[in-house]
Amino acid sequence: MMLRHLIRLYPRAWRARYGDEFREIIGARRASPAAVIDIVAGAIDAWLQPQAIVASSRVQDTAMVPTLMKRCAAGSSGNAREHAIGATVIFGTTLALTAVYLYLAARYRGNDLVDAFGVLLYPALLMLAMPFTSTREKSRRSRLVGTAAALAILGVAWFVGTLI
Amino acid sequence: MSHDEAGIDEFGRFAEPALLILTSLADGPKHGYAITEDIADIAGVRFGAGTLYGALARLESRGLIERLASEDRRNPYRLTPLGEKALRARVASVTAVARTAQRRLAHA
Repeated sequence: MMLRHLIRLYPRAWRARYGDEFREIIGARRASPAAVIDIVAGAIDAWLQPQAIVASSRVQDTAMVPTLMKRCAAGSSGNAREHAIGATVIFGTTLALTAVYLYLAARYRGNDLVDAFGVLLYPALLMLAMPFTSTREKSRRSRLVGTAAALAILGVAWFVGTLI
Repeated sequence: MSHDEAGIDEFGRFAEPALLILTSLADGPKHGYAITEDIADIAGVRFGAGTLYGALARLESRGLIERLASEDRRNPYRLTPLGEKALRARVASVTAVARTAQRRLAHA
């Protein structure tokens, strides 16, 4: 179940070409740390070394996560240092939350809460990075309240998601 | 070393999966799931989906395999003439190495 969500890590053009077949194969496999690593490594390869056959399908990439990442990286304004800080926070938070998720997925295999955490990991990291990116020009209190409220909403979505 | 053979070697960590995919398709078209099961039978390894489609995309992009139309969601792949040529070249190379190894081991 959880593996199927990881296909969202792939570029949209890639998913348009191979998505259905890919889902069939991972649907027949048990989730394991090795399977997760293989799929994540495949996604990184698909982004870093896009193959001609995929690029030729000419599907514009407007997937949610890349679009949010671009928009949230440092807001619409800001100098080079602020952009660098925003990008570093997003990158560091991504690594940290991914490590937490991989540990939990290996420790509590098949747990619904962990599966839901995996799905909500990327929105969560964007919200954690907000004080350093899109809301950095607000007051400290506004940033704290805004981030806490966003995370609380995400937490409710996380819990409700496990009940559905 | 032929151009086609060099092409497979340039696949990096996808070179071995690509060779096994070409071998699997040598006896006829197969879809992705059938390819993984066939490779598991002939080589004892079951590639993850990320590895399988990384190799399939490279093979397709270089014209070594082609995807056939299908009415369901499972598109079969087949070897192209260029892919067959690349596989023959690779098999000849591997066979030559194996013969050398056997000959030297016989005298060891």
